[in-house]
Amino acid sequence: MKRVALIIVPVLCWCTMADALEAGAAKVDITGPIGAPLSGYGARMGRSSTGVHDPIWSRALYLDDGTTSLFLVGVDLIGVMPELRERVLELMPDIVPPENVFLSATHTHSAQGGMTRTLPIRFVSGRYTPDLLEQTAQGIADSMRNAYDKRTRAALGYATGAQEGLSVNRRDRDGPIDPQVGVILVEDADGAPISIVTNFAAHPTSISGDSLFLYSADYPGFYYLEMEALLGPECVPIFLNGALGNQTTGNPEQKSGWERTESIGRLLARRAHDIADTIMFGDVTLRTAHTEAQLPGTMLDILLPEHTLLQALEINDLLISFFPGEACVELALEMRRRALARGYDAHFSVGLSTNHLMYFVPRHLYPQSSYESTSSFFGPGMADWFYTHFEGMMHRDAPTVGDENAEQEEPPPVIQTVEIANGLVVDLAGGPHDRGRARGAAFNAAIQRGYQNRVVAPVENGDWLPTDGMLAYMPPFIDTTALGLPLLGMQSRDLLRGISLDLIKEMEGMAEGARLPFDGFWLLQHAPLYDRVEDKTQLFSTPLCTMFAVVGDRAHGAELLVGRNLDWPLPEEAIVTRVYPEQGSAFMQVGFTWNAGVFTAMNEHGVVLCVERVELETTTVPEKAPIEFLLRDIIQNATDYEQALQTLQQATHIRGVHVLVAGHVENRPEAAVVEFGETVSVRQPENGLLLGVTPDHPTAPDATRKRYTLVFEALSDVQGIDQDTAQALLTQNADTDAYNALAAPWNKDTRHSVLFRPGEQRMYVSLPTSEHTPGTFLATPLFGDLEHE
Amino acid sequence: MNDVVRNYTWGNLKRRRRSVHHRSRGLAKFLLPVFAVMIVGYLWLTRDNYMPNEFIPADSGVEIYMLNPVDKRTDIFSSRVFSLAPEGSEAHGVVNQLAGELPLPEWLLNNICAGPFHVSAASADHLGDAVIMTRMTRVGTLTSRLASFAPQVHVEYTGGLRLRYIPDASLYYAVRGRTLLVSMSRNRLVYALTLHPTNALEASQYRQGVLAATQADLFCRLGPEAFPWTPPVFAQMETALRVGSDTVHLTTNGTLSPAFTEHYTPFLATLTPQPLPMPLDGFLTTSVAANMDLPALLTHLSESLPALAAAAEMLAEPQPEDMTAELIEDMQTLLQQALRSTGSRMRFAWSDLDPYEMMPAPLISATFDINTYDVIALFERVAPAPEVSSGVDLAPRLDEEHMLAYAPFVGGEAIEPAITLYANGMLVSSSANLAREQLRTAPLTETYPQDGNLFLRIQPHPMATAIVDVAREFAASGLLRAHTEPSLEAAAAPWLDAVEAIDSVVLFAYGDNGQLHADLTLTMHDASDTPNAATPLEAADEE
Repeated sequence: MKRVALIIVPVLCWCTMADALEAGAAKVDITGPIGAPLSGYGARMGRSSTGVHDPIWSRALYLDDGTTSLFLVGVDLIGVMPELRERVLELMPDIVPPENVFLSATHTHSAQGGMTRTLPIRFVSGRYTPDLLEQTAQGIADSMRNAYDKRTRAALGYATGAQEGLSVNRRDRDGPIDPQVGVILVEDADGAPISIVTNFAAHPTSISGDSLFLYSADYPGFYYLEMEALLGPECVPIFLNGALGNQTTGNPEQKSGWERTESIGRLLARRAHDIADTIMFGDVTLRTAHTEAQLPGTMLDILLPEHTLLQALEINDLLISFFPGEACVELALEMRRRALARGYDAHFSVGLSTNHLMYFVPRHLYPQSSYESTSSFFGPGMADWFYTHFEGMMHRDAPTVGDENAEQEEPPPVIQTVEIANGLVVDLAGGPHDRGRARGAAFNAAIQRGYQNRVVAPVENGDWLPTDGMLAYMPPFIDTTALGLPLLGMQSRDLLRGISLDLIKEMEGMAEGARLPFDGFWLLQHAPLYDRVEDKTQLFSTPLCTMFAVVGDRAHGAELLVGRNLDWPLPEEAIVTRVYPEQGSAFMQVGFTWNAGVFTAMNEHGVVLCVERVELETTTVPEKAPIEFLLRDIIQNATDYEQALQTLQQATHIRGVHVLVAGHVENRPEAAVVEFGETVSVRQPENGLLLGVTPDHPTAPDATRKRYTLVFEALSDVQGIDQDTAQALLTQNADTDAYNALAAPWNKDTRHSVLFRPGEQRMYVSLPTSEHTPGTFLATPLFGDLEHE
Repeated sequence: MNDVVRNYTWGNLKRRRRSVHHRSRGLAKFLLPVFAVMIVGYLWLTRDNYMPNEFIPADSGVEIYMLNPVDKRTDIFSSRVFSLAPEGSEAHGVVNQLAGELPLPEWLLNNICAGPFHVSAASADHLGDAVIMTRMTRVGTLTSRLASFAPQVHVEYTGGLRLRYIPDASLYYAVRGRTLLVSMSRNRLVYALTLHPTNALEASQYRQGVLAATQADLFCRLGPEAFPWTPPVFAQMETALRVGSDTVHLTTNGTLSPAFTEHYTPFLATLTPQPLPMPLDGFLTTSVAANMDLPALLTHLSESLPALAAAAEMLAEPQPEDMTAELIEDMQTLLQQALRSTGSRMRFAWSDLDPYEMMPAPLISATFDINTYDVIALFERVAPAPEVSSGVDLAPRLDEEHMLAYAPFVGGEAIEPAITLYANGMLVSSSANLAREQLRTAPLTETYPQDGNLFLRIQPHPMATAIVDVAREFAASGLLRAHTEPSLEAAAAPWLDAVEAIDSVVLFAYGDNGQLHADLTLTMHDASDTPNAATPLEAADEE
């Protein structure tokens, strides 16, 4: 028996040992040479460093639970550039698979740059220095090798706690912060700390003034010092920055200069140390996950890749998601909510891991001209993209809602297309993103063509490039399009302000379906506006549209008739879309394959909206969303005429357009023209007739006044204006001069002619034939089949 | 059978012989006169009774002289210089065509072009109307006359001018004595044939041209009509080209047109050769020595080059008295004030391109003659450097060890504009490090062996290599117009190969009271250094 025991006990011990955690940690000073450029602050303009305030470190923790081995590495650099990661993986010990190397930068703005060859980034990171890249990669690899060499039996635990005052939202002082400090403590068999890992979100950008050219790890450097003082010099503190996009350091001790930097670092260390005191140790299971994910399209494709590595690490019930760039805090908070909903105990977000794909902002922050928003290049849906991919890597299942066995109702098809004379009718149903994607995919060739012709071409030709500034002085051998397009995209964020998230989602879908970057699709949407501002060619002297409403007794056979022609100088493919959204009102509009805004539309409540540009010479880029996108939101959300009118009147940033709004108030027909000039004014019908522009309008173009004079003369003597009269007026071919001069209601630029009967939720659409004569009017009900007249 | 030697006779030998002699004498009696007539006719038909200058209009804008071009072709195209045209390029095609098989047998061409070969045209814009004139041998002359009977040749009597026309080649020609005149322009050929002696080139001028052509491979004389600008730059210009096995040498002498000098560059008329400073190192380096200081030179140049007007004005601005006491807070002011006092000699060298800089940057140095005390006085006025360097920083700093002022500007060490003392003058550099390097070696104080006004040397291979290196950086970042990395490599490779064989291109020029003289020399590396450079003739042989 004793013999048996002598055999069994060592075997059991061996088995236990085999599954026990092994850990080792090491740090290597990777400070670059004095004279090398530092990376981070644009004010440095790529100039060289002049000294060292405190060293730059690579700190590595090796973990092996017997099944999974990995390196968790924190480096005091601004980011992990692809060139650096690639070289580290080549130099590192061949111990763990590359996907189990979690390499993250602390994002100090005062460590060596010069490690990227990409030219535009050199403006921030300085002269490309291959030797410096090699030296830094070697230092990081050495830290990993040393950590592995120092591996020993270990225990690991983690905990989270709250901080107060250490971080603030740098864009919105009342905005969200991540109050969490996450801590992982690793001890050896004797209870001596091997390493402590702290996760906290704030930009290490506390250095300025005459210290701008000194090497420093910023506040993480003081965190290391304080933690080593608290846990002993053998412990290797590691700092993993969080979703720091819009987070910066607070100043709870009201210090300045280096004292402030030191204060934050030491306070953070003490707080983390306090949290570490609460840690319980137990068995450890490590699980890693990774995916090589295809990124959404971007216009900054000269800098940003098509794919990126995403990594996640689970340590028992702790989930860590590694973001390849600077995520705003909202993304971390949402990821945490989702992780906890799946039953994880805790969640850390770690930023600047494996790559530096710039900033990631939530959808609602995308329509801003903030630094974070304009440095985001993958569209407003990037947060959803992360949630989808990180959730896909979670080993815990999503919580189930309701009865799983209940039969799911078959959803209606997202898109249905019916060919009509000279155009298409497209029915769209479902959520905004799905609708958009279906439409984008259905018309992707036309949208791509529009993008190439109306966005890329004017940038390539220099028509849309500035006449001053850096781009204007580029030598001719430089392809300014590659820089000009993303810059235009950045500058166009403001135009998204005031647009509903629902519509933004729909446009994201359209861009995705058409395989365009969102910013490119968005530029296509307001390409005509940009053209008007930049260069007043014939395109911009063209008046838009004719519109009139006949109200009450004057409308023979109906209480309300609205007639409208859209004049548009560019050749287009016309479509009628009938949209049945999950939320808001069903509506139909007449427009083009690519346009997400509204020029001519009516919803299920009989609200009609039409727009006409009147003051062409004063066109400027509005400070917020252009009119057609506001109309698009109104048509989906307004339940009656008054609501639509009130919402319109609030758009005080709009200039130079008239909007005709019509509908019913308690079954009473109403119509008005909202004139957006220096002020917003509302004009009511006179004698039951309302014209989009009065023939004596002081600032309207001549052709517009002539056209409305003709309309007025045609209708003024008719007491009972019926549908036939209105349709005949809209499609009458005036003499050639008026036709060519756009002075006739149906002229050379007319792209559609529509008569609305809001009471019946029906519109009659005539699209131009190939000879540009008016097509037959098609009766288009909002619900049900189409009827040719 | 016996061994007796037998002699046989056959008829009456003596008589028979007499009979043959008698018959040949009869034939000779007939043939000799014919032969004599033929010889006389041959000599008559091929007599040389015209002076070539009689067919050259005195007002020809362009005249080209060459001797024995067919023979010379072998010498010229055995030069390695012609291997420089990259394969696939248009130049390569032209060179191959000229060096390859000729349209007529070489013996015939040698007889057709047996002496001076001359091309004249009204102007450089009308080279298609040029008249080509060659001197033929008697054989060549006879052949050209016999060619008139070929069906491909049409005869035009043209009032007795006896023009010949070859429709397939759209060529007119005429033969006068042993002179062949060829042109694509009938009018121009008729004009040459009917030239009044007073409108023809003087014989002495023609002889001078031929003499110049004997000392070169090609001699070219250009009159004012050769230049399409108004007023023409030159009243006359003569250029001689010599092609050696490893060099091409072009010598040009020009007389500036009075109208041009009067209107645009009067200072050129007074230019005389000056001691030129020895050029600095660099793949593009130049030395300039004018008769006037830099501000005056810029002012004169800006009269014909408006792009220089701003620079000229900047240096010409009078300096208020009180400004000399002001502190200098930026590098532009320091440089501007220094350049105002510079003398007539300057050097400029482009030594490298740094492809890895924040923006790829050229490394440039320039030296100027200036009183070094003036520079020191300026350094003493440099304002204290700001404590914090932020943004584009052009505030000068003083490196007293090297007596050097520099500005951090932007980027790294290759983009730090600097000014320092150098020999008896000032050195301005795009990089402070480059300036310090130059200070570590003994300053170049010698002068060029020959007085002149301009020396320019280009070393195409290092220059092209540096430029391509920079282009690679732009291509790698997706910023090179119309090129990706692979397409750039494909486009650059033949040109890099082509220029690899060139050692240098040197231009030396001076003015001498209205006459401009320029020597341009292209020199190849030793043949042993560039084994892949086959001459066009070798290539033709291989084919």
